[in-house]
Amino acid sequence: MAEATLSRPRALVNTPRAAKPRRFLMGVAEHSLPIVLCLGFALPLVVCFTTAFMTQQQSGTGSLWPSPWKFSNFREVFSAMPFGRDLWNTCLYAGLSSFGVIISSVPVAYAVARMKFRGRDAFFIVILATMMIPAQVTSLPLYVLFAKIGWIGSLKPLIVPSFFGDAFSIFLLRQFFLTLPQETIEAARVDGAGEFRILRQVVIPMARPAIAAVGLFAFMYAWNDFYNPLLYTGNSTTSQTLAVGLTQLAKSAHQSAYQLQMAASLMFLLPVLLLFLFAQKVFIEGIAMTGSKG
Amino acid sequence: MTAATTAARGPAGVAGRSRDSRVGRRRDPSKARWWVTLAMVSPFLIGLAAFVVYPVCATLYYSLTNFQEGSYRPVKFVGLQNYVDLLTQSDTFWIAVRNTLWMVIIMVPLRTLFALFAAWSISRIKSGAHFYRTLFFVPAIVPVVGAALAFIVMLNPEGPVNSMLARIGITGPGWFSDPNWAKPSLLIMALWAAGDTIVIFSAAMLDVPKELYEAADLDGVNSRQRFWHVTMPFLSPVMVFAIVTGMIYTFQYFTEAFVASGSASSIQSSSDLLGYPGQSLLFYSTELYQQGFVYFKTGYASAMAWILFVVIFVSTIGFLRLSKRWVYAAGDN
Amino acid sequence: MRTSAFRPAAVLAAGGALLVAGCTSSGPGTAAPSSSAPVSAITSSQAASHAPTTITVWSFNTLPHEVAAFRKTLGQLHTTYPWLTVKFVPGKDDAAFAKAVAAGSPPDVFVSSTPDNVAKFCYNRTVAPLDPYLKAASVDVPKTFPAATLVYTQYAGKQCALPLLADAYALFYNKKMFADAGITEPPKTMSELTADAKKLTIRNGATIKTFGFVPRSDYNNNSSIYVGSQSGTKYYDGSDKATFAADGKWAKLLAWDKDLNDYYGGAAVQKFVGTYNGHSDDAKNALLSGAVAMEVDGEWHVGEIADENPNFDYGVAPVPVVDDVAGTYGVGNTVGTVAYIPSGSKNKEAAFFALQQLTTNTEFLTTLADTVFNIPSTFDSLKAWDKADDPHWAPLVKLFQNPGSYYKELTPAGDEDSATFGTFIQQYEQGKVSDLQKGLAGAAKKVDKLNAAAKG
Repeated sequence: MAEATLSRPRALVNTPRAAKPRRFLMGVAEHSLPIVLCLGFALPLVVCFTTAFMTQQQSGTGSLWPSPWKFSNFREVFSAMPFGRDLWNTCLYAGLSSFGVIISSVPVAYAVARMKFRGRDAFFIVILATMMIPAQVTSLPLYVLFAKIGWIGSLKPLIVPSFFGDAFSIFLLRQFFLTLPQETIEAARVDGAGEFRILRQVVIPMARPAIAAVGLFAFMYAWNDFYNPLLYTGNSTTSQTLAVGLTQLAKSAHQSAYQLQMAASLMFLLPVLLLFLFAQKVFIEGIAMTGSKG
Repeated sequence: MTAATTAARGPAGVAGRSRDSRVGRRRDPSKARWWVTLAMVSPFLIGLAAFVVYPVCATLYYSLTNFQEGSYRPVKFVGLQNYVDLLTQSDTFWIAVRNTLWMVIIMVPLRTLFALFAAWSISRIKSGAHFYRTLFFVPAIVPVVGAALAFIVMLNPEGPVNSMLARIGITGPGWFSDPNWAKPSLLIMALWAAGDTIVIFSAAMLDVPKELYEAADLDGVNSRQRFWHVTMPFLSPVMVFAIVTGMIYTFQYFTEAFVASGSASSIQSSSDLLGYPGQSLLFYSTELYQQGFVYFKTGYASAMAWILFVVIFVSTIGFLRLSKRWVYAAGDN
Repeated sequence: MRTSAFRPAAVLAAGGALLVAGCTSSGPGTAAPSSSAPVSAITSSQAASHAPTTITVWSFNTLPHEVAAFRKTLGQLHTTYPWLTVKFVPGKDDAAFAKAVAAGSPPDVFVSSTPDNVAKFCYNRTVAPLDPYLKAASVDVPKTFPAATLVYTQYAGKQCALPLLADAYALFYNKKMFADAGITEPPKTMSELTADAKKLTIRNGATIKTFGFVPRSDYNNNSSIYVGSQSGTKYYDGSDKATFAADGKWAKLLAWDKDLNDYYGGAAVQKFVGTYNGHSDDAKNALLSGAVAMEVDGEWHVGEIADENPNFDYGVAPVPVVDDVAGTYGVGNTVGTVAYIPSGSKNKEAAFFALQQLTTNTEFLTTLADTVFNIPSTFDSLKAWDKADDPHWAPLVKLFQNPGSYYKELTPAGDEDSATFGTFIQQYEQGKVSDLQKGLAGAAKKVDKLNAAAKG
């Protein structure tokens, strides 16, 4: 069952009027725990937000409320680090690689889910197994290879591999494709449609939510990625991404300028936050899909 | 495509197949021609060869040499010398191993239990659960670099958390600046970012068939027994999934450690930055990064990478085997 | 069936082909750039007009005033020699430089904050030996650069780098606190240092308000105490073997360190280090805040104090020495920034020209020294320097010119030997080493192995 509806089923029992206040108290009791958890989850974000508006002197202290409110920190970030350039590189990386992941993973997932060929299940296990391979075991030779072809210092080593499929995305899409009605696909085959045509005209239109989820996850992964940009662009004067730029800000002369670091972090996390809020349902159902069927 | 043209272009190599009842067809339509299948899977296949098979083999090869990327020194084949040096000569190797194991053994179970607890806490809510779920999930999408920096500010020895603790009379520890508290600080951060696991558990909890609950209610069990004997077994596959992915992630734990370590040090003492404070944040992959991409001792770092690979492989397979014994399969009662 | 036969074969074939290609690659070309090619330098007559050249200069500096000083100096270079355009990139440490070399795109000149990697880069032929260029430009090295600077820029008889401004580490102390505690002279030996530190400590109930001196090796610039100059020890003996166990003075130094840390208590020291370690260079520094009475700092701290608290009453004195070598008091850890020319640079002549200007032009050196608060690194510039008589700078210059001052010997293992030893010292400070002598012997053995591996 890949489709998990995440709304609570309605209670089937009618409660009499007299039980209302008791129900209210029980509701409060039930909500108290999640509320406490919420406070815990929100605290670091609140600290981040308030520190971004503090002055240099106040930022290293224990105060939780900026006084005075300094709005120019956000502008100062741009002179403390090449934020605009890093932002552009991050957008480029995230945008192009999510596109690449989608167009390369969809056919593979379809083949593994709905096409029959010998060794299909073994192939799928191989795909899953690659998720177990740590990045460290592939980075060293890839670095040497990329250095040889002169790609170090550009975004190419980050973007190009995403056009060759991503195991997690293939897995997610395959789970989804398995829920598509087999009859429709078989009917199309009987009608003489080739597999690519089926993919294009039958499967993809039905799979938009899953594809959107995969694209969003890929975008988010690239946006938040630190290890790969550090390796391939960490040294570059043109192609750094925000993740690397932020760490450099924090380890530079601005090491104790927490207000600048927090302002920069806020600007860094805002796009993904907005993306998430607008596409919540897609995100959460996508995550839920990975858990179902194990 | 008409049946006639399909028949005319029928593939060779299906000798012995007689025409079946569908006129004009020589092959089973649900089995595509081989080159179509190949085209479908080619992106991943090429990626597999270029970005998985080749690097993994090359890393093995490098680990048997004294290759140093960027150096003009001639490359020599040294056999298992790198491995021997790692296991017997290197202090930092074993410190890194210990720290990483600490994280895997302590953080992964705690994170799973915490996610379970959080999911359970909202499973009882009748309305508004999705609001909490959203809020719990937000930290998981915050970029790790930003989150780490925010935690450094929050857990600053003179910062907000310690001020709040001081108000209730507790002297807060040094968090990221104290070797004994640096890893627990990262642990707290990991729990904070457990949102993705919480969502998975939450969804799985809702998937538990109502009939099971109703049957349990009829049997008169209380809520704790219900949780242990109905919900938990049903959640076990998802828990295994969460633990396995958590393990794989934690063995490679890098970004949080990289950003947090050295955050409390002075810029002058940069030589031991990658483990600061006091090697407590020296993890396996940051040590690997140091050896491979700072010192550029590629052969040596490759040996480290292969050891990591084997460890992850063995522990994942081992854990999966172990978990088969107590995982509840959908068919059981 | 074709599909299943094709697939594994294709993967293996592709992987095999790439593997073979990968195996034969080993760095930016196995052939090192030939060092016997004839070298010419740009003479002063040629310098008047030359084909327009652009070179890239990388440096480690991040502090704004330092970066501005470099830009100004390099800009003046362009004004004097308009054909030479210099692109300056700050914030690059040795790791970034190594990455650039590995990626095949190094700068033309690299200014490093530490000479630790001079031997490593020289041995691996990552940087070009400068002897042929110096000869072609008729630069008399021993007459131009003080002996102290040649120690950390030469390896195996080759001049691998040129010094660009020098550093010296000294004891900075709060004069008022000294007067209040009745101390008339700064301590000369480690026992005197401990005694004075205890006298200067001010407690506030159970907590410590002011520390006399915090010797923990990972605090501030304290690592400079452990390079050997303050303990009369050398890292390596005549056969290049580490002396940590063989020379007893190392043990005495470490024992002093642990005793003083234990006197304050590990937890109190931890709290202090946690609070002040990130503020070495800004106004919340421990010395300026009165949290500590004495600190070991580099000479650039004089400039920082002048910026942050010009009325601060402090003194500068040589760092004390281990009791056994009390007679050597006055020596210090002298080191400095160094500048290399990577062997992968495509404009070596123009690079050397710029390098020569940076490292020998008196006006450049004194201006740069004043702005970044370092010590000028040539005889001429030292003589011309206006700060040499300043009461805070004079002890540092004296330290620098002391013939007994030195830095640890260079090795092709880069800074791995000091990192290994530093790790050991930290373990010892944390109480994790039960037998000091055995631990020192273990550390020495590890360092020997590292050096052997680095020599390949």
